[in-house]
Amino acid sequence: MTVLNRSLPIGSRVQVIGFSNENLYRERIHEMGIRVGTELKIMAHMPFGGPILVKFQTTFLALRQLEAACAQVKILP
Amino acid sequence: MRASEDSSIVSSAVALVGPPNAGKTTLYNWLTGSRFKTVNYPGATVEYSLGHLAAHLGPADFQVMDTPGTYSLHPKSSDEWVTVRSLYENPDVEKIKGVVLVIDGTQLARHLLLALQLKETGFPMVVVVTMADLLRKEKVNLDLKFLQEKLDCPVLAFDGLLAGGLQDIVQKTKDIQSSAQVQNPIPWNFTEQEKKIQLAEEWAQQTLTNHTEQAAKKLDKIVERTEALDRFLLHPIFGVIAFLAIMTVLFSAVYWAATPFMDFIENSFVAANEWLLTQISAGLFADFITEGVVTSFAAFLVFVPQIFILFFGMSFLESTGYLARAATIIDRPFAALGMSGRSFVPILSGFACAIPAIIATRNIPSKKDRLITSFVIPLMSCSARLPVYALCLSFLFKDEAPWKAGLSLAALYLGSIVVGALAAGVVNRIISKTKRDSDVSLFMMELPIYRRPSFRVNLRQSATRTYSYIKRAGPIIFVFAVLVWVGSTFPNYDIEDSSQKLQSSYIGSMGHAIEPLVEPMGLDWRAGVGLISAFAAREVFVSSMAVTYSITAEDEGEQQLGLIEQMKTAKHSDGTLVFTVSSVLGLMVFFLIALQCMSTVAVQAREMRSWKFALTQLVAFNLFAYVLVVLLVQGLRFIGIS
Repeated sequence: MTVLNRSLPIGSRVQVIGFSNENLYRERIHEMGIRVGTELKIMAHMPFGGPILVKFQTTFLALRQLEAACAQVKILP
Repeated sequence: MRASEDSSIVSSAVALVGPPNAGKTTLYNWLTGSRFKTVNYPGATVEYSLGHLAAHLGPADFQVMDTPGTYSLHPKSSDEWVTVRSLYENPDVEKIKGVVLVIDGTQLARHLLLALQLKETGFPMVVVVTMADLLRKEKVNLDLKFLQEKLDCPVLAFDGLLAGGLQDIVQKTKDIQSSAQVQNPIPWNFTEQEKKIQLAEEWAQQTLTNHTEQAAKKLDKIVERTEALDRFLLHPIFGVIAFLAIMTVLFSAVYWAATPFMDFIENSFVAANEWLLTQISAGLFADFITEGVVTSFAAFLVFVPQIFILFFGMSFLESTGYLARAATIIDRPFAALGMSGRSFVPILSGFACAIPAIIATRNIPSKKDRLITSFVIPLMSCSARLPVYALCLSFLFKDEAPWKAGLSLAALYLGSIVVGALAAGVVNRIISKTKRDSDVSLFMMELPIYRRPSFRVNLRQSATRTYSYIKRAGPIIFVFAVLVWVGSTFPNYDIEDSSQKLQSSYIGSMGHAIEPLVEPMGLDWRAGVGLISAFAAREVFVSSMAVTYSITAEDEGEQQLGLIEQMKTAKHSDGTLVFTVSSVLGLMVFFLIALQCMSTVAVQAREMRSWKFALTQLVAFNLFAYVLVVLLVQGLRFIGIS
């Protein structure tokens, strides 16, 4: 298990397997339509250690590192 | 601004609700027939607006309301609060009869979540699925009947470009019967939320696949191009280069593309003045028309092309989908200054006008981010400063290669960014020291797919924005032009020598009174008059200068010369020139920093709910600007640059 962060290479696919504790970030991620089981594709890492961009279904979502880190993922082959 | 049509309370209205970028405002514009009335401000809808149904669509007393985009009914930013409040405790509408939920057909799974939430509240609902044109192009045929059964309310498709489906939407909206059993939204817990997302996904899946084979593949095709473009535009290195290039093009276009139009406007006014002088017999009235009215309007209108180009560039970038990406690229550097990428669009709008920019900070969820962003916005060089810069630069670089003025303008804009960054850094320091930050900063942002912008729509949109800017500034300019003219002509209007007339006029004595203050800046009492009038609106400075210097010009021939020529010959009482390299540089730096706009102060106080904040800012910026300019001018003179 790993958290969603910049160490995941661009182009890799991951699946959400859980969320860290109950908080604002988790709630907003849910509202954006990401749930346990959602598959994400890592699209880009913004410069200067900025947000990471993921794609799921037809959606492109930019998350700051802190926000992304509340999603636990497993890397898909 | 809130109720766009009239301020009285309306008895009932139907609300348009939906996630950001789903196309609410487009539908609202079609419904109310006012195609571009709502887009007063660059960026998203930040206040709800009320309007009645367009005449050809139905009765005039049928009200519709547009609301800021929201992902859920559990608001996390102040513009999301606006939406929820506008539904439940609206001060302008007695009862919200029902909701037209606008969702994006290419984002069904996610946007149906909001439908489920609204359903629970009991609001009567009509669901409108947008982007019908995009879907049809890829031959995706949605099973809206299925959705209609599941949601138990009308579900209709809408094509924003051609307004396909509008009649049906109007009909179903009129049919809405208000319900007595509306309740507040109940937050979902973790398990429920997970279940609802799955349910929404299932429904979306069925809607997409019931009539369409390989729907997933076809949807993928819609986002394919966006993926390819992002590989380049969001590349760690090329992405930054592209960002800088795009912003450079935007700001340099403001200068060079506008030049021919500005020349044309200027020449027409000079011609108009000459013609007027042949028509009206000399006297007080002719004086008023030519030196008061025409001169002031010429000085202001000449900058309209630049304002238009800036508005056009921003609206163009926004409609392609790039602006949201620019915000994510800049997020990390902005975070270091205590702001976020969400501050980018408000700050960029600040280059057009601080007032809409400050209002646009409402979609920044974190209080701290919002406060710092609002604080630095007035430092961005707004379009009202452009006339002053342009005047000073044409003074400094007359008859020299245009790139020099262009480069200096770029330096001024860069300067305002640097000063803004410094100010943000300082405020961030102070805030983080005084209170432990429990305020979570929320950035998370959906990036829209790239779309080909419609040249025509952007053109009309920026024309409307420019027009509303002129309409807002025009009356102020006119009033002040009259005031400056009256103040500079009376009480001794019959003195032959015009220079003496101005000296002994009301405005002359006011200028003389503050002369000790402006003298260290290298300026004289006439420029002091200009600085005072700039507090009404910065661009008034130029017209006021035009009036006072044209009156004091020594002979008729000189009066016909442009303001630049008059600045070149204007002298202090001791015979030295007023406008030199150092004093003009100082003038530009003063305008760069000083907060001279009363409307900004008022909006700041309202938005931040604190007069203390607004007044502190007013005093701090002006004091800092003054001290800095005095040091600069005197320093330059000390090292021998006059």
